[in-house]
Amino acid sequence: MTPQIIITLLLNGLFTGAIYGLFASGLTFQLGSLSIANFGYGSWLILAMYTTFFALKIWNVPLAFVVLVLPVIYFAAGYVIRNRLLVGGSLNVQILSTIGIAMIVDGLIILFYSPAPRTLGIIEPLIEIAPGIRIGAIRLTVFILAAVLLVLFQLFLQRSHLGKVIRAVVLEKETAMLMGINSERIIGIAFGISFVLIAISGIMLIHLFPVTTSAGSSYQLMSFLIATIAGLGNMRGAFYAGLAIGVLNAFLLYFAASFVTVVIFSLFVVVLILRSGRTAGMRHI
Amino acid sequence: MLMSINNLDARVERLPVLKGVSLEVEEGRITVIVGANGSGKSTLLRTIVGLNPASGGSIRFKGEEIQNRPAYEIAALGISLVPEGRRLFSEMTVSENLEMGAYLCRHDKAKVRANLDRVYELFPVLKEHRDRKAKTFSGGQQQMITLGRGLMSSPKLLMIDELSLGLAPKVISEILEKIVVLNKQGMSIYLVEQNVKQALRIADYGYVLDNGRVAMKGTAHALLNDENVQKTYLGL
Amino acid sequence: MKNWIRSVALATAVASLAAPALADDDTFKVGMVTYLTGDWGYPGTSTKRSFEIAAEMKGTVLGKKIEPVIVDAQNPNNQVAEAQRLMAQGIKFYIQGYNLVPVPLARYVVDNGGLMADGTSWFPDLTEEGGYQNYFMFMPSWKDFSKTLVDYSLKFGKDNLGKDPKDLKIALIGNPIMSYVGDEAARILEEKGIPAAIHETYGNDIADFTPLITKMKEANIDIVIPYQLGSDAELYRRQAAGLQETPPILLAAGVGYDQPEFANMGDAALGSMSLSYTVPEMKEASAPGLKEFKERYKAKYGELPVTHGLQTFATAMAFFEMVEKAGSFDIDKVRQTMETIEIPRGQLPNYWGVKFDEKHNNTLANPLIIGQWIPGPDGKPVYKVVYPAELAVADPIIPYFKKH
Repeated sequence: MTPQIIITLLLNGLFTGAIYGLFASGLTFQLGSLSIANFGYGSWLILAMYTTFFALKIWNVPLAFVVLVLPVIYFAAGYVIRNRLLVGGSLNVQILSTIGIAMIVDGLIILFYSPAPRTLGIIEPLIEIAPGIRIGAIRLTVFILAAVLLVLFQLFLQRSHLGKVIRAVVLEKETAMLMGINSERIIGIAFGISFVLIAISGIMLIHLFPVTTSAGSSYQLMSFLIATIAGLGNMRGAFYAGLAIGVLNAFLLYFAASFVTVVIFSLFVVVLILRSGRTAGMRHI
Repeated sequence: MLMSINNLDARVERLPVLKGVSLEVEEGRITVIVGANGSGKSTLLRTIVGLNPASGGSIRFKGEEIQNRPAYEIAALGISLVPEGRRLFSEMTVSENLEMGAYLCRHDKAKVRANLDRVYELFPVLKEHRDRKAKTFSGGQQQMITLGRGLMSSPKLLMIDELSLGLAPKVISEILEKIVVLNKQGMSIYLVEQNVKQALRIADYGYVLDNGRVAMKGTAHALLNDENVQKTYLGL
Repeated sequence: MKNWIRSVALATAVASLAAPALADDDTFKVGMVTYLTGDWGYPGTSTKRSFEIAAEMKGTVLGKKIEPVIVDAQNPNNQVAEAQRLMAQGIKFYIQGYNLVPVPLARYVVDNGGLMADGTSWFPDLTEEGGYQNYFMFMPSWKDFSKTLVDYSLKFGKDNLGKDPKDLKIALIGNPIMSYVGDEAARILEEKGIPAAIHETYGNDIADFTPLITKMKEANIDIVIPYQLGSDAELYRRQAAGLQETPPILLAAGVGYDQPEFANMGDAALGSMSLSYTVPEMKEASAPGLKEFKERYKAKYGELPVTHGLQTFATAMAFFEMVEKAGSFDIDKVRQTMETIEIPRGQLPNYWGVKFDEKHNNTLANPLIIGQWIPGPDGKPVYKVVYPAELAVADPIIPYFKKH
């Protein structure tokens, strides 16, 4: 157990964790800030992965095109779902509707993309940052991109006018209307923006991992876990929690691989118990 | 007549709260609605501003019928509500709250600047601490922020719901003084208040709401000297 | 416009209701409950297509046209309900398709008066329990599979690495769904006095194999035996290739390592071996009918069948022959024929022979074969049988990976 190994595990854990953190932050924004229970989160993520795969490998579309177009389509999808399908619905309606939409998405994936698992099959070039310590270049890139994306999103929310309006609506939906703000439209826009996060996560994920039709639920579960541990609505916290879980995962895999699931779920339960009541109902942004 | 309400009915969660309310708000005046808890005062404001549906009757603002229009449309017509319980954007700073208040004139930078200056002039303490989060201020200061926010859109009619709630008498007086100043500057003000004495002292005209109906109306002076009002609301 | 659509919809509905009624007693219906959607949709669809091709090629049995009746269970909770529907239609004979939980399905079919020819399940539960007279298991059990994994590994370690078996460092890593295979291999190794140096079953949603890869490097592993499914096999190979850290010999427990998607990673796929019951890429001369099957499948679907497809095809063909020999569609007569029939090795498209013992296990199903990803004619990796010699189409390259 040399220092090189420890650092390698640490770094790999951080980079994998950054990816978890990225898509968990999208979910935490939807669930915590917008109070929208989107049970189709995972399905949309793998749809993005499948679509990127097909675009790159089968339809011969350049990556730049995918990066520009897919997020726009996802924004529109998010807006339409929130403002045409979910608007005015109770929590139960949201859950059922988003599950229903997820099933349609899953069905479409199988119909158009066939149920075969897909992978871009990219061998990551390695970068030796120090003697004996090598990290994957794609992983590193994704880590940087994820961090940058989240920082930009935070800046958007904090500094831009639209960002402030979104924050105001999230904090006080009715009161915002008193200022002439069409709160429903703004929430739709915010939901659309969170869908953009899903699209970008998907585009990045397929460069590292294979995608299967069942992968959606495990990504969704992991997102939910991380979001809850960090506190719903806390995007920065979700990213950090993702990093932490990535590192924990890496070390557990090395020492006791079969305990990974047990430990992480136990952690989740412990955090839930400790938190119960404290952040319940708090509007975070 | 700036605003006239005719036979307004409104329900809250199926229970009738307003039962045929008729009243008028004159331009340039301070009009006050007083009444006990549960008389329907806040519901009246919420129905005017579009946050609660009207089930009957009409509300006219500058001649136009506005009942049951969405709240953001009514705000655009020039009615600004300072809501009960302040309802600040608690995690946002004073200047951000005020910026949100100016949403409707956000494209007119000069206007926003002018409105901002006016608010800071009225409430210098806000200017001093404009980068602090709204939730860190005292009750009275929070009321100032929410008032300031309500002014940022250059409204034609400023409606204020229960501004005295939870505030010390001295603070209430201070703020009511500012209201008078605003009115002298030409702002039409519509006040809903539980603190009858202080409200009637600064008002021009008043209505007493009882159980969802207008029970009495008259000049503020007349109401203050009315025996019934004195007994029921002023504890005399 | 609306009326026109409505009429067409109505007509279609009526026609589809009428269709089954028309095809009733004139055909020999054989049922299959498998997975056409979801996770196992890909191999499941392969078994469906293979069964259909077998029915096409054989054509008729005892004068009646063979009609495969194939349904999608979608997930394991549904399979019995689907079988129920088929039984209600009067279908008595069943072929097992791709199914990771085949036992409850087989149990249901046999308990309710049906007969199942099972060529894709490796769970010996029903034959070991006994009392399932109408169940016939064409494959050897997973226990035999695990044993063969260990035997071949030790053999390669000795012959190709020049090491005494006792000195071999073996790693077993895999997915919880296949953990029983790994556990059995670990147990056998323990019994032989050569305990596995690393034995790790990781969680289902693993995203990074670096810790395990690093651990195997530290332990100087000679042979890694992965028991993985498609997506984690692919991820592990890619990451190990990227890190240039693969133990000299990789002998996987089937499934994950013979999927066509595996080739997407290019040269990184080369060298991986996997143990299989039968593989379409073996010497066609040793397996009559294999060539034609592959050609038909490729012509129809543009790709080659997977292992389970071949298993299903061969089992179906053998089964049709058995019914033909029984001379009757009576279940008891068919069973009797199946109990006594003997088809020597080298006659069926999957190379197996068929001879059932008193428990209805197939004694002629061996040997298990090994396939390896080797460079293909157009530069892309291809999966070919390399062992044993009589079935191999290429020579194995063992060890493939260099030790660092």
